[in-house]
Amino acid sequence: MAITLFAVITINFIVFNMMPADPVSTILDPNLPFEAQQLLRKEFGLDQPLHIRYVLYVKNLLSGELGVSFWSKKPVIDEIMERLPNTILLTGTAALTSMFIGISLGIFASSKRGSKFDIAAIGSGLFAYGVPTFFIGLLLLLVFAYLIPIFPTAGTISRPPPTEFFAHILDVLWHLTLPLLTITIAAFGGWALYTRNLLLDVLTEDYIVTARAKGLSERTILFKHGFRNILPPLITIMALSIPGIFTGSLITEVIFSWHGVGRFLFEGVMRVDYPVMQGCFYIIAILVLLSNFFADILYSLVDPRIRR
Amino acid sequence: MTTKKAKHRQYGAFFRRAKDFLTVYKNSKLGMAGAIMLSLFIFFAIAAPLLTPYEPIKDTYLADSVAMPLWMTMVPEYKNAPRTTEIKFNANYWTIDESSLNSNYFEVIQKNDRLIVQFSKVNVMKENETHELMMVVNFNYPYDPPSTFNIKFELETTIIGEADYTVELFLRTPSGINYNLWNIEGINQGNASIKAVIDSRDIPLKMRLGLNPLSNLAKNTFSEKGEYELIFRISSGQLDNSDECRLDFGKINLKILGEVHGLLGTDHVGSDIFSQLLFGTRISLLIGILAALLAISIGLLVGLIAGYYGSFVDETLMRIVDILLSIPGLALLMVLVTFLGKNIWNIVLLLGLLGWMGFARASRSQVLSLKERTFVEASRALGASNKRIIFRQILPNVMPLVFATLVLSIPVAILTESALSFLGLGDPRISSWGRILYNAYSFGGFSKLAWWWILPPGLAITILSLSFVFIGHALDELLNPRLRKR
Amino acid sequence: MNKVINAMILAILLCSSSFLTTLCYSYSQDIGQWESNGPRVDEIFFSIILSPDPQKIALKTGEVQMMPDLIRPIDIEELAEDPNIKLFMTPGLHMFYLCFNMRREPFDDPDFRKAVAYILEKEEITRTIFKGYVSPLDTFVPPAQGEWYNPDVPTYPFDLDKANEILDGAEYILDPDTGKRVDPKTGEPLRDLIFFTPTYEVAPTSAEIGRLICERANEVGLPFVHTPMDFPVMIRKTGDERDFDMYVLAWGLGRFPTHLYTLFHSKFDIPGAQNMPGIRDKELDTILERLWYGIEKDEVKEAAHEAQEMLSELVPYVPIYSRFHIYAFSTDWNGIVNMPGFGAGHYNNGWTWLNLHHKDRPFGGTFKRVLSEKLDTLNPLVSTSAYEQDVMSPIFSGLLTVNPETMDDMPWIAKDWEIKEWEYEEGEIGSIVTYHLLESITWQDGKPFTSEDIKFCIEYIRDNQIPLYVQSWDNLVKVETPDEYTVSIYLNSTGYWYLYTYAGMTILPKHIWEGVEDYRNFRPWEEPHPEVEGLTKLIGTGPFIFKEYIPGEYARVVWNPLFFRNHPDHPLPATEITEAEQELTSYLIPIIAIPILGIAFWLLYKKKLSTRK
Repeated sequence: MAITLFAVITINFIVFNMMPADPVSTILDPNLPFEAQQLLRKEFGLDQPLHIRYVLYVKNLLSGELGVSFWSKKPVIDEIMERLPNTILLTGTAALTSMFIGISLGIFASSKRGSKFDIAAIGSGLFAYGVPTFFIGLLLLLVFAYLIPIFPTAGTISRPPPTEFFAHILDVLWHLTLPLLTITIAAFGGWALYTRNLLLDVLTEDYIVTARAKGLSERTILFKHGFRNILPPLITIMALSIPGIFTGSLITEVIFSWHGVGRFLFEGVMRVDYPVMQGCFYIIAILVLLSNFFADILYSLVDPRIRR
Repeated sequence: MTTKKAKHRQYGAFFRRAKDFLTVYKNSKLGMAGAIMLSLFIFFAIAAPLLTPYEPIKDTYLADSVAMPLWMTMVPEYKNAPRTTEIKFNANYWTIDESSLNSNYFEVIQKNDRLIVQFSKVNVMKENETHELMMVVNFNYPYDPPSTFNIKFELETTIIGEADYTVELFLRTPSGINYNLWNIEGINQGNASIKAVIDSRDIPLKMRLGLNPLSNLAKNTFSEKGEYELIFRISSGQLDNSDECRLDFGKINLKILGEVHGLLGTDHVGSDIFSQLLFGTRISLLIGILAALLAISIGLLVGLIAGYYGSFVDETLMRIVDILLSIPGLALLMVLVTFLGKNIWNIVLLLGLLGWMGFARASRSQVLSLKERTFVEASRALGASNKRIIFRQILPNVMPLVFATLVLSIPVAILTESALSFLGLGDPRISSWGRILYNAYSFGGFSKLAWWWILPPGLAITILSLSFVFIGHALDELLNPRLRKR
Repeated sequence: MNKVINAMILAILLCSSSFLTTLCYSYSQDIGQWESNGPRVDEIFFSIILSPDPQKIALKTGEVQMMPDLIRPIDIEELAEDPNIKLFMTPGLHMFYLCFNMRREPFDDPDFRKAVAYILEKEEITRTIFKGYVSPLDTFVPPAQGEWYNPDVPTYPFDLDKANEILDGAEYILDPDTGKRVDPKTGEPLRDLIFFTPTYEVAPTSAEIGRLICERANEVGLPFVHTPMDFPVMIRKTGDERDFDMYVLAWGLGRFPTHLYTLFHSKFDIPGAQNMPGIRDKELDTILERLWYGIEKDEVKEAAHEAQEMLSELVPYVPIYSRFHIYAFSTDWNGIVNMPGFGAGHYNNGWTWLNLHHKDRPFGGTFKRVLSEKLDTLNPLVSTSAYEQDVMSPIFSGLLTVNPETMDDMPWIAKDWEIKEWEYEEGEIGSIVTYHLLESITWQDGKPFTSEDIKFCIEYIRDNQIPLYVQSWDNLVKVETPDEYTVSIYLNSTGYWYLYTYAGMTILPKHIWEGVEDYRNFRPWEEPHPEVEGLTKLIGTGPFIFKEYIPGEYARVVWNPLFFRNHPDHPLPATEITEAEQELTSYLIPIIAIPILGIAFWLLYKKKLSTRK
């Protein structure tokens, strides 16, 4: 994982410091007061040769020094920290719900091959492949926020937010509904399809036939033997799909004006605010890495071959 | 064994295999559905210029902004929705209104499409008389009130001496209300060439007519259905003996922007959405296929090399794949597009460069399993070079996987491109489907509930992607032995 | 010659029509009832909503009661037709223009610039891009500046033939093969003339205007190249490096035409200052100096009018349009004052915030309005954003204010004032600006407001050389406070305008800002007041007290009961009741929701159990 981290930082460096003609322009805002400019020059080693710049860059990124936004003149790390909880909330719940619904659907579909469940699973899987996430978001926005105004059109909380604790939570949930629904609808199909296919593979194995002959209930077969055995590849796919979930949440954050890191990256791109772009990209990559790390741990817990 | 006959036999075998394949393929309902949908899209892409007379981006204000599709007029509520009306008032259509005072003081010539009014002291009967000429033309307006109209005409004045005259343009409604839309006074000698534009959006015009600047002038003036009149009123004051005046009116046009248009209405600048949709097909197909080809090619190459040569090469390549896979693609894409510029070729390149990893993995595992098969061992024993083994033995067996994955990668490319365009990072000069949605989102399509603007592009993306997915799914089921029922 | 005369007649007609329209505006948007006592609401809530669609929906559903600065024609039209919304429109103090770099060829040729002026079709731009909701501008001072605006200046109505004529006359011959005109000095076709605009993402209308202009220019053989670019880069190239050919941008202006001096006097043709075109005309300089340093109002007014005439001759800019300020308010609220030049909801128009009240409730209540951008700072010495001003200006009061009907100066904190001359050095004349303050004013924490605060504030700004306020310390000699309610500012320069330099200044409380060494990093709105609970260090003498800012979400100010112009009938706010109301409903929701969710989960689980068999 450490290697991946360094790789991410290196890519960041290459993209932001070696690609533009003038790398100084990606860190220094010419409108900053002179002292602030000098400070940043020193911290990022802008006058130094490439290798020293790289070392300083790595040091800075690891310590969380992400520069100062051109637009707001605030340290990027502060801005991101402000928005990180929202992104984690959206992405986390979306990942969980889409996986839960998708996997459950896939399990039932595989156990009843050819049934309505099965068709539903395949259908939703294909559907997820075809419909763009942002279109789902736009449709939900159009129907449930403009046409029938039962959900808010933008934002993370109402203004003013309810002060009382439960009401506050419900307010957040109310704002969370449409974005969550968007990502879930877009993603659960893939899970369903993949789970179904994996299970179908497994269920035709000999040891399953044996188990059935032994008289074990379908339920036991399905969960104890079938599902357990597909957990490893499932978790692998979970890890692989994490960047996709962040991508989905990026678009959703933009559509629903969710105050998160994905939207911040979008705003940074729009305004060509290089420090913001670098910072967001880095943080999102870190989040992906962390999720992968958790997936790895999960994998080791679940794969009987690796245990102890 | 490479005699002609052997080659023929090879080709024959290939065609037979292909024919068999197609027969089996026809049985797959999804596959056929996908193929039919795809061919439809390809047809649209190729035939786009023939299917619509409009340019998707250049032709603006074909109707008013965010106009509904024309077939909405079947709904009773919109039966009389204003259609785009353009009337050219030829010189011959104008008649002299009887109520003009002493109109014979004026000489009216209608020739060569130009309406010319001349007057001088010569025809004056009495001093201190009022002389006024009213030229009238009428037209029918049978629809609901529009939101925008404009009247354009040219006027060349030639004056000898000093002439004192006024020209006014009125619009008279069926119920007799007069709107003084334009006037001019000529005082001194000289010539002028005026290109007059009267536009219902001009605030000074609204104020002159005593209306609230935020009101809609077109809705006010054209509030009735029926016969309207345009009246030019020319009045002349005192002239001296040597004074002469000649007013030469050129083309006089009235344009009323409709609120219904075409198959799918218009966008915020009045461009035809159906044209944008058709031309967008080209973009989606082009980008989708090219980007997928690029990604698959790179992935195949990497997979072949990694799988076949194994050990160190394999390790490194797969490590790179892992690292690149854990980078959020769209985020990187957004950033790179800002650096490299927003044009189609950059996008195709980037999509290809960021999309090869998945297939690299898959093809690698395929190669790994093939590597250990006996026929490969046999070839190696016979002394075949690595290159020959890769290309002659392994590659043909990987091809089925390639096709299936290729077809499934195209929708990914299409979806990613449309997401980029939707965010505003696509090529602004082309009308991709994502860009149509970007316009709808940014320019008020949602608050106007313009479903004809929002649904078609999204549905188009969905159906095109689904057609590839169906085909890919069918291919997968046919070519991939794993999923076969036992 | 005849054509010229007729053109001038037309020009006069056009100008008089635009002059007439300024008169018309004051009749159609009547100011309505207003008082100088207030405020009437108890609280103003600034809800941060970044894009226009959600803003509009929030307004329509009643979540907010005001939407500021409507720009998209679709929003204007939609809200104009909504019976629950009232729109207030007024011509703005704004100028969108095309700027030439007169230091380069061919822009140093006045004929060339005039020809370009003729290819701009301002009316068409107004119609197609803005649907008519801006005002084509022909002068260097927008009509909204009232008496300072000079309508009798040469103008350049759209006329491609005229442009062609001038170019031909100035020997920019059109080469039929390339379609480009030839530079008379070199005989070569003109090089590509680069036309900067902001990008479509950031400012779509500006970018589109640039594109249209370039298209028209190409039609007459001028090789303009439309080049959208990043805003910061554009600012750098035009402001600092002076490396450009042409660009379009806008200025937000003040009540007075002092921008003519800062934009067109030759001494500002240095990097960092604002004479972007690089115009250096001695005659113009003289007129502008009279405008800047003149002492009597008639003197400066005459200079302003003369300067506008000269500038229209010299064409360093081609003015294109001037915005309207359009604000949308819910019809349930009264007391909105549609002040000319600023608009009903502008931060420089304090009258609306003073008079605003619900139609059924003369005093009290909360008013919610949209804020279009999040705030980065609420430090008056550092803030540059108009949105930050929206929140800060109700907190502070100025020395003078403006009568919204007559646009005359009105006493506010200063009950009266005077300017005198003095000799600060041998033979050199300067001015003394003296303000006499009201004696009843206190800061929001109860401490009395005295001339010491003003003296401290001016000296603090000077000592820290705060660039935002350079005009207030550039010519400052000293500040004296003969007594607690009189302050005299001694300057080594004369000028009618100094009265207003200090009149609009944000006055900082000495007892809070005294110890602040690093003003740049001082965040007064985040630090609690050292003595008074419920206050922050961001206090002023204005009608509203700053309460809180939740980043990215909202800001809130509440009524200042100690405001010196408080309405005598304004009762204390009843906040207790509203909080209790909230609590009740918020308890109901979870009580209902949790059992429902529980039942749903249980049913799902049951289903799972049954399918397992």
